[in-house]
Amino acid sequence: MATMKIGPLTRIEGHLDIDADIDILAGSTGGKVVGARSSGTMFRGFEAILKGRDPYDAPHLTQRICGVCPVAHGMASSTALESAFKLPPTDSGRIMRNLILGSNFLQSHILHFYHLAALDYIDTTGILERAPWKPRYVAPDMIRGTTAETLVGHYVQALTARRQAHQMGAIFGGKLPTTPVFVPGGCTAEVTATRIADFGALLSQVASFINNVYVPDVEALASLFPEYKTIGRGCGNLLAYGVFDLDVAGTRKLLARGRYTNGTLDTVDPTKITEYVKYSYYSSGSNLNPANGATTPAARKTGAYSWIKAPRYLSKVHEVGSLARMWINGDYRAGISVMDRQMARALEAKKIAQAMAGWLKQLVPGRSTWRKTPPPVNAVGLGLTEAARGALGHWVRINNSVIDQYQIITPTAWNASPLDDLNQNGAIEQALRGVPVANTAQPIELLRVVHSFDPCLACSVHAIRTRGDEEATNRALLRAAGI
Amino acid sequence: MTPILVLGIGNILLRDEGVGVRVIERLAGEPLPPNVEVIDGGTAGADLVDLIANRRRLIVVDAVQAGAAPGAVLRLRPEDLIPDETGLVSLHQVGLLESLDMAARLGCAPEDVRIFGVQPGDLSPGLALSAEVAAAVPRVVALVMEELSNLNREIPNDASIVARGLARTVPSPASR
Repeated sequence: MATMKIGPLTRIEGHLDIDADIDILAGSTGGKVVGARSSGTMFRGFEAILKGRDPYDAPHLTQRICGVCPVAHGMASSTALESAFKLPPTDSGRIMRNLILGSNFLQSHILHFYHLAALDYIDTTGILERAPWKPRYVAPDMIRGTTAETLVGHYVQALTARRQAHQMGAIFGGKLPTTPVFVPGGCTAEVTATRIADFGALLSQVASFINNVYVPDVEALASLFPEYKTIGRGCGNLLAYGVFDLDVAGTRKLLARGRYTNGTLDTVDPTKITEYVKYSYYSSGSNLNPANGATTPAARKTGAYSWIKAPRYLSKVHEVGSLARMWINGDYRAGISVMDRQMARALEAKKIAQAMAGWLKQLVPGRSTWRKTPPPVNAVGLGLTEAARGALGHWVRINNSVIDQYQIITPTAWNASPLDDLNQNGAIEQALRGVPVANTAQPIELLRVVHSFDPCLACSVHAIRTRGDEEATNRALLRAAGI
Repeated sequence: MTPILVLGIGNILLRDEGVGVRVIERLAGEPLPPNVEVIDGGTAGADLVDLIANRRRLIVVDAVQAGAAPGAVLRLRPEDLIPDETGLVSLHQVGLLESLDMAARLGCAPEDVRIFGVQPGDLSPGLALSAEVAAAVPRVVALVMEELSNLNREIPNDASIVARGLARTVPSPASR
């Protein structure tokens, strides 16, 4: 049996490389994955920027980390400061923040399925051939013909629903992305009857799309690709910090905090979270809890292969995301696989949209939405919440009324982490192991596994690029100079 | 919603990557015609669709990898940019070109798009621009103002000609 290296399977410039080793079956074009590596290819030193700044800056600056889930960073940061300030949010603030974050979840889930995941299963040749929707791989098992055309038709509907969800968030969030309304103590937006009505009208349209198009499409996909209910299981452990507080103390949540480790449901103690760095480009200590974390880059570290650290709970690998949340909350326990992740994500969108309609009714125009307090001189705070793609935590330490230390663990650090000091692979690396690949020249099976995790990396260098032709660049320079 | 939008995009946490946002912060202090809106789009991906929808004219300011000297200013059109053909893995790959394409599919694409690109030098974590790129900011501001005064003659000052949108412009407290 020969081993072939496929890689990088996924290349996000400056973000994430995933490659896989495949044992080739004799006389065949295919084989099975025997090992995979997930590498974050860029240093994220964003936390250092916060040191020495006013704690009130944190929700605004941390939202800039990510263009896909800025709202979740705003939520995590506000919550971390509230825990440091001992200042719970107002009830109106809590509800509006849930509505803004909920809108972000809905638009993210819809876009993830129709813009990324579904295209792994549809041969869009002749339907959608323009980049970036040009099919990257074409496999014999892909959906073609009228079913494919119907699904592609839903893509345009999905774009409309995504816009409506975005507009909902902007009703209370003001400016999106990077809403200025998330503050410790609540939400600075005002509740008005017009806003409640506008939000409700859009929500009912988005909910109708989710219930009548998105969920049925995922169900159809799951029935056409039954093998993906067993492919891509991975570590089998799930972790959720929980999200959408139903009271200002945060004790009750729409989606509960918890974990599922070695087949048993259990509680989460944040002090049991540590980050390993043996295989990450950091010279700072390994196995540290983020409250005392350190992030010293070491680009030439021997043996390291990722800029992502390896977060673990009680030294164990855990997967985060919609499936983890829905499983721990008892809403979905059909299985852990590629298709279960897609299904849980769609059903979660349905659940959140339904809950949002109820929260909207609890808002009372004119009530105070936030309260302000000066930052404490010395304090520590912890903000655990969820982004659409999984558990997100912010740890803050305040000294002399300014931020002394800030540490963030993103959902994709959990899912796309490298090996840890105990030589355990990260969740995506484990999910790729054993996946059958029919044709190593078209490894669509591996892309389906990676996409099911909805990876999201620090919005790093995303500068637009010119076509690179020197003559064209010179012309553009001259045009700017007015020559 | 105004018929003309100036949109700055980029990540201010990576120094020169945020030059588009820095230009917007300056422009917000300039005397702008009433048919012009300036928006800090930050690191937005697909959210850009909602900002650009139904505009008559769109002027984008962003960092651009053009192989030029740091601080060089380029005047571009969307067709000058490279689409991402590597296959989408993350929603992070949805950027300006993909958002323009989505807007076109939804029938709300801007009629005319112009881009001012600035070649970045320093993309390390931090808030301050490199000296070369900081020096380019007033030049880009002047170029955008000149472009706006030309466009302003072409575009009537009547916001009712475009569909009512829900996107709002509120300056972010981080914009400083």
